[in-house]
Amino acid sequence: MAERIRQYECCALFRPDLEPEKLDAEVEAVRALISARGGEVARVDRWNKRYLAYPIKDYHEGYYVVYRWFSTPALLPDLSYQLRFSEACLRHLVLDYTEKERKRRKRLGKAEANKV
Amino acid sequence: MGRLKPTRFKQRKVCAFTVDPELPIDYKAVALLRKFISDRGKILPRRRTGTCAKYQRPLAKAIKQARFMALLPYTRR
Repeated sequence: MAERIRQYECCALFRPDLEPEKLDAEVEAVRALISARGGEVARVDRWNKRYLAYPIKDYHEGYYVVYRWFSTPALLPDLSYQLRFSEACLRHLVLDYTEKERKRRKRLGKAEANKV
Repeated sequence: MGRLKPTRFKQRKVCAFTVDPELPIDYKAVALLRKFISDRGKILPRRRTGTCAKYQRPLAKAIKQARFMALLPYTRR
């Protein structure tokens, strides 16, 4: 069975003590990995440095980066591997947004239909 | 005989997500999720917030995801 293209989102939390160039390199490395494995990166959102709700590895703040992309599930293990063993990354969370986006579009469609 | 308890009239609560389906139930919407946790950081029950079951399930999940990413506390004294 051919694997379907799905929409994913990954939120990664990077260490606060990275130099700006190092952070750029890390952010780009993840983007490059997704692209290299056939993913189509839709957007990369970088949040400002933010206080954590609780300390992780004695860090009290960190940089959040949110990636949105379209791909098959094939690259997910590689992505998790890269982030898990990255020195710079404290936490990461990969979620499938395909259904959520589909429902949102459907709801928007209905609202549009009601308006007319 | 014990005194009768004064009758308490409760305001009818409505589910915020039913009223406005555009509200994003998402771990990134931290300001919104904060309304649904106690000041100790616990997830508030439906009877407190009026959220309907359909939306409480994804809401609880989003809060847990936000906790994992250190956007919300697991606990706070």
